[in-house]
Amino acid sequence: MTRRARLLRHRGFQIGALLVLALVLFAVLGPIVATHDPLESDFVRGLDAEEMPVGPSRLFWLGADRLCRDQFARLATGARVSLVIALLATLLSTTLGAAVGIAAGYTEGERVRVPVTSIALTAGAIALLAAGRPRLAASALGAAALGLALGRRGPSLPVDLDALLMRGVDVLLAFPFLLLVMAVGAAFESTSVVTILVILGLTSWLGTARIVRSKVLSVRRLEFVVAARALGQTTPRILLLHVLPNVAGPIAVIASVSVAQMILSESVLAYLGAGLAPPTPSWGKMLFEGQDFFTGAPWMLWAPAAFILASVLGFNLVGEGLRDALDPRE
Amino acid sequence: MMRRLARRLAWSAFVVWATVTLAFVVSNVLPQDPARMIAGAQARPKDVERVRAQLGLDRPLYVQYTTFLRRLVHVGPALGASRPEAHATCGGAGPLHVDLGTSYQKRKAVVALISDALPRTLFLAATATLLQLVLGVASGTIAAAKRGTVWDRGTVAVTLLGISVPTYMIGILLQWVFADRLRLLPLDGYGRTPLEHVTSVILPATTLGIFGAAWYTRLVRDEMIELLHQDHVRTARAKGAGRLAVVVRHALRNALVPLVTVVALDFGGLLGGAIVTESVFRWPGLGSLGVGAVLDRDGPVILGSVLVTAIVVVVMSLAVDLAYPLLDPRVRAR
Repeated sequence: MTRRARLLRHRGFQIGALLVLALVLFAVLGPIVATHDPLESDFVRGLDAEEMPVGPSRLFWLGADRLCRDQFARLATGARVSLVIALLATLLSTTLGAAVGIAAGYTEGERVRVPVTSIALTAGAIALLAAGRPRLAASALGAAALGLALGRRGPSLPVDLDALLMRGVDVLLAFPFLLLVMAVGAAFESTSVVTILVILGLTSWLGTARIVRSKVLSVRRLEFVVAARALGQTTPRILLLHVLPNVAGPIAVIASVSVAQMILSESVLAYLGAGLAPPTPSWGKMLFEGQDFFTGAPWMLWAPAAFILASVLGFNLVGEGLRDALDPRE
Repeated sequence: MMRRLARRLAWSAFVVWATVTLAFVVSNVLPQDPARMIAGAQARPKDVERVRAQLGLDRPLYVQYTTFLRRLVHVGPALGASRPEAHATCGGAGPLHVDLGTSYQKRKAVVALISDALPRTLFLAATATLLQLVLGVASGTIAAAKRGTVWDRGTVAVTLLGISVPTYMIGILLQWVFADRLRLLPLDGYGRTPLEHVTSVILPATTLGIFGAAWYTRLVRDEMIELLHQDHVRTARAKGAGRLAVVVRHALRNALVPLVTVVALDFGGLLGGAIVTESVFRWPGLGSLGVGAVLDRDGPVILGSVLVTAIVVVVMSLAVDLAYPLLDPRVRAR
């Protein structure tokens, strides 16, 4: 059986893909179908006789929230927000993790010549960060990366890139992830969709880097890679044409599980009070707001909870299906 | 061997230092003014400046950093009942002092706050780890031994649900059922008496345990399926060993090696403070301390909790590395 056939016959993958598809459709069509504005309060029809938000009804399909806004409209808009955050953050973290993992794994046991200018710029970036100028530090780091990409010319120093990168990963892994996320989140005055996804993306690539590195370590010893090197192909070409395709499978698995993790992390951030600034709805934010109305208006908690659970389950199942289909032993 | 150990120790110390330094930078980059927060929003600029000078926050960052490091571990008079004013915020053993300064918000020594919180987090982490280990190993082994049956499929489905449900949802659900409806267990908090501590730990430990048990079940199942196909297991079966004996003695024992690694690292993570679970259950451990500190911009407490977390994580991964040769003869031979 081919991989594709194995994947399509996988029961878990079928269920997961259906769930994901349904959620994407909901995110695309939901806000169009919704009969209310997600940010608009309706204090006249949204309250019942006891001044509590009304439950699910013909007017409010999934009930009203504490500010008498339509839950369905908010969940639909929240679907767009949550999915965009999860997908883009995954793209960011997977790209970063794969790049670091490949760079480290491919250069393991060797010393890479790094231009002196790049080293100096990186040191400058650290100093700028310490001096409280994060924006300048970021641009210095960007310039350093550019010098690394462009440069064989000029003086350079031999650096054990693998050791350097992996030790950096060690340090960041010892750092409490949620504290880091919250601290960075607190550093931005108002938390927008972009800040949340950048924070999540920049803090969750460590595991990916480790796994990709270990895969690259075995791939780079295979005959065709050694042959390509012997034939004098350039490193970027080898990485792109020979190494990347052979680690793409594990990366795909990590990415789909990571989407699930991102949805969870976003909701955890919101739960801890460091999420999106109001009034933008996201599932995590809605769950957080619904918590206090648990006994009086349970739909405010269950509706977002169900969506979070369904999406996490869906992406996990897709990841599982991919893993089983790519595993030659199954 | 000794050289490897020395290198490993030096590296661990470096990781702790780098992590704390990173935390120092991050907590100083945050756009906030501790002096303003202490003096109050209505305070006169003069008073804010006075507080700033008192805290030493008017000095350049590198001076603050070196002060922090020098104070962190220093030699002083033995800590007894009457401690001199200058060492009021110190903890430690004998003449060796550890000083993390004073919390901006709580006005207490950070060392004291951490030594209050650490045992509670340890209690929660140990209970949760025990729970998830017992449940995970048992159900993972059964599922692998009965592979393909209804039992196995059911276990796989349930554990997938287990790792997909956010922990705070499990927490809220447990609170609702056992504290709100049935009134069997306390809703949250830590309690006052030892008995209350025990009844209070059940719900948060179960919350952590459900996720962990699901995770370990999958891990043990995958590992066991692999192992049950190996030659030595088939040989043992062929020589007439009972099914149970084969599963437990020949397969499970080998599956425990990778499991120990994961458990130790997870335990380290839990000791750093299960932030979400501690928040849901208002468990006054390291996680709650850290979250509160970040939300309050309480620099010294942030640094203190990052330091403890980093040490715990590093020590656990060191322990795993050292324990590996003891558990697995193949590693020892190399």
